[in-house]
Amino acid sequence: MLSEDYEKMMLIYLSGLTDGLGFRKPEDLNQLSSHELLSLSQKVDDSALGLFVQLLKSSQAGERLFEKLMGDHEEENRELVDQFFNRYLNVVLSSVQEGEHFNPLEAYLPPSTFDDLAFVQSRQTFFMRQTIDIINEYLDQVFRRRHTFTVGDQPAAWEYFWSKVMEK
Amino acid sequence: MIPGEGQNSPQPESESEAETETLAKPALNWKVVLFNDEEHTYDYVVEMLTSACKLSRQIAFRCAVEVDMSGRTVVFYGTRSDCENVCSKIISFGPDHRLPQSMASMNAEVQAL
Repeated sequence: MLSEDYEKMMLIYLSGLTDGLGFRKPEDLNQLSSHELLSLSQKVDDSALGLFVQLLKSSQAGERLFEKLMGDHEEENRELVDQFFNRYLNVVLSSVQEGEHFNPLEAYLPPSTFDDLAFVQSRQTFFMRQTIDIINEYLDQVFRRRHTFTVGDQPAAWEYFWSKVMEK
Repeated sequence: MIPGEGQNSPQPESESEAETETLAKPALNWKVVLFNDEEHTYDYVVEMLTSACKLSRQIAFRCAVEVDMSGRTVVFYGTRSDCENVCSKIISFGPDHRLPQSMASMNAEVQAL
């Protein structure tokens, strides 16, 4: 939920982006047409795009405003809709920023978590979704020896991993 | 609705076509609704929907925005059996590994159209 300070700041910021339109509360954004809302979003800086969406969400008219962000399904708005969602996707999704050699297991299941067995157990589905190369690389790193699980060995790799964690 | 557009389960275009379709195969008159919570990130929703519903990354992202803003979003249309299968994948996908406090999957349910 957007704090009161951020809400006020965003309303002032958005008011400054429009000619003569003053937004005093989030609900005022609902007065804009789909085209106007999408045009306004184009003027919002990338760094403020997340706050812009959170402001819309806090207006108590989130469902209606989402329809407007979808261009009210009017063909003439399609380009603006695509531009908005492409920009927002690039701003919001962290995977876009994750590098080529990023290993999600090393990042989100570090050895420092192994004391919390309930936590580690809860990450089983996450572990099992990884490719076997990612899993082998992770196990090599964590247990400091070479692992050679092959494609389809995810369940066996999990059993091995879990037993090693239990041993610690 | 976004996920249905060319992704899965297109609706019959006319009544006569609909009748023929009904005779030929089970009716595609069920949907899977995903509900919002504060324990899952946009990344998780996109990853989960591309896996469970075979949505494109772009469409899955729009669903993520909708569930965040509206509290719910329809992520799949199909037969009851297909919808139950998709729903089962969603509720067994596991917690969001990006958030230490996330300990469960998102909630979803199958509803009649």
